[in-house]
Order: sequence, then C-alpha cells, then structure tokens
Amino acid sequence: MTPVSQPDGKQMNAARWVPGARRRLRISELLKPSEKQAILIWAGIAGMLAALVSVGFRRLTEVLHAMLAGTEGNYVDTMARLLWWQRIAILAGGGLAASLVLKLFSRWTRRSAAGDYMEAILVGDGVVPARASIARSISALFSISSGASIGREGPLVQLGAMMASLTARWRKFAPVKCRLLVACGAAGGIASAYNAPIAGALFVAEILLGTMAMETFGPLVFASVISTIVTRLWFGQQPLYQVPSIKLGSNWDFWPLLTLGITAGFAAPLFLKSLDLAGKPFARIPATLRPAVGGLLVGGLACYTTGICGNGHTVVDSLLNHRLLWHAVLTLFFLKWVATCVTFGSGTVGGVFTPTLFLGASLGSLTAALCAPWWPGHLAEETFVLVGMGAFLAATTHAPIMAILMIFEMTLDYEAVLPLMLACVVAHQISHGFHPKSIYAATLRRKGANLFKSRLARLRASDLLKPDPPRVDPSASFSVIAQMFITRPVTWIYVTRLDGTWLGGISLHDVKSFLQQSELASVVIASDILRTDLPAVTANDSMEQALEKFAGHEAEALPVLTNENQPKLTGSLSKNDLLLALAERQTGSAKKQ
Amino acid sequence: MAFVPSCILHDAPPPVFLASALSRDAAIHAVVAGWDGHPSVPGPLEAIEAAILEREALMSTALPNGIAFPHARSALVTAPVAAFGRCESLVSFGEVPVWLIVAVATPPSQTVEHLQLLSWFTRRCAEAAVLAKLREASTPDAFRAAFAG
Repeated sequence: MTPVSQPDGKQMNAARWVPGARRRLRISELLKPSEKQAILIWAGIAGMLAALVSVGFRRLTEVLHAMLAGTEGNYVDTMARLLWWQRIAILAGGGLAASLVLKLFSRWTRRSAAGDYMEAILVGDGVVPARASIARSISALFSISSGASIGREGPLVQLGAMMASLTARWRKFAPVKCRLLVACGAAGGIASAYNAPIAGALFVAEILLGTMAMETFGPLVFASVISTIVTRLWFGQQPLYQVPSIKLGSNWDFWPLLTLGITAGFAAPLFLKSLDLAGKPFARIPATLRPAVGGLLVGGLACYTTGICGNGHTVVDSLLNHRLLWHAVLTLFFLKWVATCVTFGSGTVGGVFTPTLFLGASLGSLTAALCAPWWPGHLAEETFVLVGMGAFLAATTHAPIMAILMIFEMTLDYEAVLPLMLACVVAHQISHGFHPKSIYAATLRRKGANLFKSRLARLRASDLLKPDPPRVDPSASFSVIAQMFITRPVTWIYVTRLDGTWLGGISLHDVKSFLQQSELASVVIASDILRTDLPAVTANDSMEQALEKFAGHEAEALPVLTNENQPKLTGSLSKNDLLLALAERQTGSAKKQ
Repeated sequence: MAFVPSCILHDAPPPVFLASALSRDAAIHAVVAGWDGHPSVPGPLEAIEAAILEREALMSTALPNGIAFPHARSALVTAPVAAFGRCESLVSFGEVPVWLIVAVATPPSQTVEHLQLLSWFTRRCAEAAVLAKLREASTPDAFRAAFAG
C-alpha cells in the first residue's frame, strides 16, 4: 500500500477506508452549518463574550466605587454622603489613576494602529489590540468608579469588540469576517449596557457600518440578542428605566412634543460644538495630567451638586418619576453639560452616550415645566423626559432609528413610540442642518473611515482570501478525499502538486454516491476525479471579476490562484466574504454621493 | 445494484487471454489494443495507453485479490469503454500478482460515469462466484456473461 503525503506533511495509509463514510458524511452535512449559519453561531459567541465582560466590568466598577466612596449605592447618593474635599479628592484621584494607567501602558496604547473597535471595524483588519483595550478599560475603570461624568458603555463596547476580535483571529477569519465579528461584539456590548438588543444592533449598523444589509444585520441582531439574554441572567429582565405608563390624551398633545423635538434639534449642535472645543483648554496641560485636571474640575462642580457624577442614570430615573423640581433640573442640565465636556475634553476614556440621554431627559423635563402652565392637555412629565432623551440622542448621533428603538427598549412602553418617532426625526433633521457630523464623526474621521472606503474600492481577491484551503495531492487516495469531505464543511477539495501548482478540484457532488464503496479506496485517487471546469479567481482580480466567476457557478468558495503561467493555489475566496465586502463598499459609495 | 453497464459490456472488445508471462506495461498494452476500431475510441491508442500508464505510475490499481483496474479519463474517448485481459501467468502490478485486468477509459467530463463504472466492476470482482466464472470462462460471451451475472 502506498503512503500518500498530505498537505500537512503527515503520511496516511492510502487504502485505509473510512467506515460508514457515506453515513458519516450525511450526519456531517446535517450537523455542519453553512457559512452563513456559522457566522451566526460565531456572532452568538461574540455576543455572549461581550455580555460576560460587560457584567464583569460593571461589577468591578461597583466594587471599586464602593471602596472609594466607602458605601455602596448609586453614584449620586454615595458621593452626596462625602465631604466636599472628599468628592474632589476621589474625582481628581480617579482621573490621575486613569491617566497613570494610560501612561504606564503607553507603549501598547500608542503603538496600536487600530486602537479601538471603531477603528477595527472601519479601517483595520478587524484587529482590536487586546493589551491596549485592557489598558484603556482599566483607565476607564478608575475614571468611572471615581464618579467622572462619562458613560461606561465606551469600555463595555471596547471590551466586547476585543473579545470578538480575539475569537476571529483565533479562528483565522478573513478580514471582512473579522470586522463583522468585531461589529457583533460591539453590538453585544451596547445591548448588554442598555438591556437593548435592537438598539445594540442598530447602533453598529446605523452609525458604524452604515448598512442594514442582511449579510451584516442578521449577525448583529443575533449577537445583541444573545448578549441581552446572558446579561439578564445577572441583572434581571426589567427595562433599564422604570417608567410610569405613558398616556397621550389627544392628537393635540403632539404639539408640545414636536416643540421638544425642535428644541433638541437646536440644542444638540451646540452640545456637539462644545464637545468639539472641549479639548482645546486642555491642550496646554501635559497629557498625563489632563484626566486628573478634568477630575479636579468635575470634583469642584460635584461640591455644588452630586447629580452630575457618574453617567447620569440615577438622575434620569428621578426625572422619569417626578422627583426633581424644574430649577434643580435647570442647574443639573447646565452643570452636566459642562462636566461632560470637561471629562470628554480631558481625554478620559469612556462614552458620552448616557450623558447625552441625561441632557435629553433634562431638556424634556424643562420643556414639560414650561408647557405645564399654559398647555390645556394632560401630558405627563415622563412623556417629555422620554421623548427628550430620544430626540437629543437622535440629534447628536444622527441615528434616529436607533434612538427611537433604544428609548422604546429601555422603557418597554409602546405608547411612547409615536411621539418618539416624531420628535427624533424632527430633532435629527434640524441638528443635521446645523452640524452634519454626529457625536462620533470626529472619532470616525480621525480613524479614517474614508480611508477604508477608498481602500475597499481597491480591494482585490487576494485581500479577501482565506489561507489553507482543503487541498490534496493528485495521488491522494479516495479514502483520504472521503475523510476530508467528512471532516471539513466544504463542497470542493482542491488538487495541486506538492509545490502548489493548480490542477483542479474534486466536487462533493461527484463523489457523494460512492463514499460507501470501500473497494474504490485502492483504485481511485484524486487525479482520477478532479475537474478542471471549476472557475478560479486570480489573486489580483477585482471584486466584480470575482463575483462574475461566482455567478456562473454554484460553489460557495472558489480557489484563488497566482497570476502565472502555471498558477499556484494561494487560498480560497468565500462568496459570503465577497458579498460582505461588496455590501460595505455599496454603503461607502452611497454615503459619498 | 441500480447501475449495470450493459452497453459497455456489450461493446467491450473480446477479452484477451494472455498465455505467456508479461510485464505490467505489456499486459496493459495488450488489453488496450482491444479498443482498436472501437466506435467510442477514435483517438490514437498509444495516447490512451500512455494516460493509463501515467495514472498507474501514481498509484497501483491492483487489489489484493489479484485484479487490476488500470484506468484513465481521456479526451481521446467519446464514451466510457472497458476492456478485459486474463493472464494465465501472473503479472506483477507492483507488489500484487495480477490474474485479471479490467481497463476502463472515460471522457474527462464524465467523472460520475467513471466512478460508476469502476465502482460496478470492483464490486462485481469482490464476489467469489463472479470470480470463479471469470476464471473458467473460455469464450468472450461467457466472460461478459460472468460479469453481467
């Protein structure tokens, strides 16, 4: 019996038969997911990992905050129990610790070309550097635990994306799929942070990917749902905000809410502009000291009111349940605005998503207070607060659909949807007219979203290829081929010489009926059944050329060959990866127009 | 067994009875020569024979029961064809002494037919009763009948 050399160099007995090969192939075909199904499974894993790191991070911030403040509870109450100098010390100390962490790990945080998940999704190869992400998250842990006016969703999303990126790199996914999985991790992070699976998927689809194509949206939704389910194991099923049931009296009640949408539409550009400018006063301060100075300033504001501490969840909850008077809300609105700008401008790691909700809620509460004396209807304050949150969010993120659904998910009150839709769309349109760039625009621009889009336009088959395709030598026995079809979810096995010279492919369709024929193991080898009519993609083929080749064939993946007289096999190109890349490019050109 | 290559058996040339001791290549040459004038084999026999020998060089097609299935897919045939040779003196196919040669050639596009044919012949040759009849067959018709069952 002749030993047959395998691609991995192992020797295999040529005539050794695989018992029950056909049955095993059937089972294998039944159990093995298609490429699209496999992406869904990996998206689910990314969502689960995002939820686990999110739960862990939230627990850590709670523990650390309790240690710093001396008592457990929400940030507003625990900080209120402290003396004025203690508040300043904790916030400034937290900022200093946060910046020292960044300084200590600066060789990782500076070196990483793709520092965060937005970059990894938009410009990079889906690589979110683990050490830099962990360093930034530890920094955020100190800032957030000390009560800085910043949201924790930033590090939650970053960590979720990092776990997804590590998974994708471990599985050696192609860059396009890597990016999709990172996007799934980010969606899982958002869904976990806000107990909002639809908004999690829409955040990434609407803001980062800019596409609702099913190739990408399906996995995002799946990751978000799994993340939410896992998070609920720890934090329960209740929505993020407990809101009294909303009642709209008549159609006239929409007018004040429309006014709120218009107000949010005008206020949001001012907030965005102030965020743009917030970094300037800190430019003269050494980078290491900036978060500490930011913490010191916010600490000063916290001496007046602790309502500005933390991400703002407690105050929003109070606003939704009528526990604050209008003049207190007015003060909080302006101080939170300043505190968020100071924290953001000082370079503190974290998110501005929840502070944005705070400002929207305050704006809604103030509008309610203004309308109450003269409006004849019976609109409850919580309706204004909710609609204000959505409208301000839509106006700052320029993602109205995400804003509508996020507020709905955070409250689970369907009555709120109609006024939300009205106010969100109006606020977004007005804000967009004044400030076309969203709250993430600066980050996206800095991270070179356009660079990626132009790179996508130049993408070649070689950029999308998957290495190590299923390959055998021409002398590989029928049993080796059968074994490979059973163990790998492929419909084609490629045949090359030992030096990689391309010969053809073996179709599962051709050999499927003969897999139970043990006699063929000694009679048939790869060269007997290889087909030369399998179209092959050349490494420098454009995506359109590659797509044309797929159009004429039912294969889910095609071989990628070098551009030589005697072409060599370099990898395989998956139809799914190609469609993902084309969907992203389509979005890119649509945005450009 | 659903697939029975009746036409191929019917159109196959009379089996070659090789009395003297021959080398593997000479035995294959003698069997392939039976396709001379076959309507499905318009191409030069030398080229088909070369393709079969080239394939044989990659891995021997002989089974432990002394039957070899030299075969190739070749553009020089227009339909699947088979030819047989029975060796009175055993022919060495590598380490396996062979007494029966079943040569098969099919067009390159007919991968499934190629596998069907090889599968059918190898399964028939695994039956002791068929082998006994093949050993005893003295005429072409008896030989074909032994295969057809």
